[in-house]
Amino acid sequence: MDDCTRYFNEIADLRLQNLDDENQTELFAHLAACRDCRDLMHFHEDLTSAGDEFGVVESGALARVRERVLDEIRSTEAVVPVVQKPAVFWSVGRTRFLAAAAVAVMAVGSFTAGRMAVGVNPTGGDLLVATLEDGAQEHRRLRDVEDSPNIISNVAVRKVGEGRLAMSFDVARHIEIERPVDDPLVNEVLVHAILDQSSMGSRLKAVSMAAGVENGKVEEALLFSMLEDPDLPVRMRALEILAKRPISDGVEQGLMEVLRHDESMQMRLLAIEVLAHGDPGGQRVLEDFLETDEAVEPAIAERLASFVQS
Amino acid sequence: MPETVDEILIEKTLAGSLECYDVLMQRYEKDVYAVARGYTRSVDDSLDICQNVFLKAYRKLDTFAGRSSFKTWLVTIAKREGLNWVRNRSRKAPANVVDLETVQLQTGIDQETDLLETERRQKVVDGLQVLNQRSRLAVILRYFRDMPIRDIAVILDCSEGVTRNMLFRSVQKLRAVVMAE
Repeated sequence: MDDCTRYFNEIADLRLQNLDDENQTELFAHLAACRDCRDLMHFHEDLTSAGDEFGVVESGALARVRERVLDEIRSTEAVVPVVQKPAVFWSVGRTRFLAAAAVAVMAVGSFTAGRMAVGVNPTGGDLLVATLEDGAQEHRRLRDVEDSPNIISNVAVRKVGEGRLAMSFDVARHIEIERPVDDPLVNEVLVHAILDQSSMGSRLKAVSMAAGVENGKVEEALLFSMLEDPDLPVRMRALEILAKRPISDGVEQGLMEVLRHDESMQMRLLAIEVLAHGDPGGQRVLEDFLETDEAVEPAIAERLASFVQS
Repeated sequence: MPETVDEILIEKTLAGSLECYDVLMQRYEKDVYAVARGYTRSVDDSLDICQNVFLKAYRKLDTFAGRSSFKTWLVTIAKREGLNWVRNRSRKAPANVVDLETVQLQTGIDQETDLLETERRQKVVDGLQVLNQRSRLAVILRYFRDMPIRDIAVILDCSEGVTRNMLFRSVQKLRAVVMAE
């Protein structure tokens, strides 16, 4: 079987014609003697031909997508590709652009924040825009803009008339607060942090901090993290946190998803352990799973059997 | 100095040529669409994801530093966009509801053997749903888009060895599912 594992990659390479003559000869000799690998090769063919149709889409649909993209770019007058080459020039170019944008805000006084259109003199408690306006008037030098606590990004500008510009952009601001663990804002921020794709470290920390939080959306975020986070440490921590709570139906189903689909053996074994030591419902689910004869690795089957027997 | 066709097209796009960006989109639209289909089986949703991907790529084009190929960079954006789509959907729907609308493969073939083949392909496509998102993406990129292992490893942010193992396990799992039906 070890040999067969080795030939798996060669079968795939053969399909892509990446295999040299010597390895081809060796592979064909193996295929002649091994029915399982012959079947595997046929399955590779099925898989490849399924790919021919997987991406099939009505003729013209992708052309229409391209057209919509170009229309959208034209309508926003393409602010972004103003810099010829990235990396080195980006921070300077970006800062200059922000400065220019701040000046434009002062001079023109018509802009939008997010999807919200805002008039010249925002009213109705639009504190964010008012704060930005105050900042824009106070900032006299480039350094003032750079030191601003508000971070402006994703900027698009277009002309809307004589002497007027419409602007859309995202605003982020660094905030430090201290609140009780059950505060709705704490829950909200934790959910955002658990879902934050930019940093594994912050997701891991947020998942750990969610341990003592009893809240539906936080539990849902933990469940999502356990099932879908790209990083194993985060998925595992989420599973551990969920395991310490009373196991709801949703979490039980999530654990079964882990058992069936997670790429990490550790995660699958942990899911079995949590289900086996949880309420009787979890053990019944494991028994049912064992009886369905789903294909599982020997280690998983062994662990399942040991729990079910005990 | 730009060396590849992509680099030339990118440079011209950055200089303001939307025609060149159109060509760039054409070159990789099928790759982006296939990745999108890995996250949703609805054609309309997949096309919406494609649109978002190309808009985001355009807006971030000046940050493309050429450390990977443009295709790899674009597929990474598509992966992130697909993940966001699933996340937004999971916020709207109960956590245990998975996006499993029935997909009809488009064929106009009525001969029996072709029907059997189509049925087999359908089983394989359906079987993709047993894989988690990362594994499904790896299979789509490797087997449907012929992407090299090293590029898939960059997109999945893991080593080539892990990518190979993931593909091995995924194909075995898919095969078991298809054969069981």
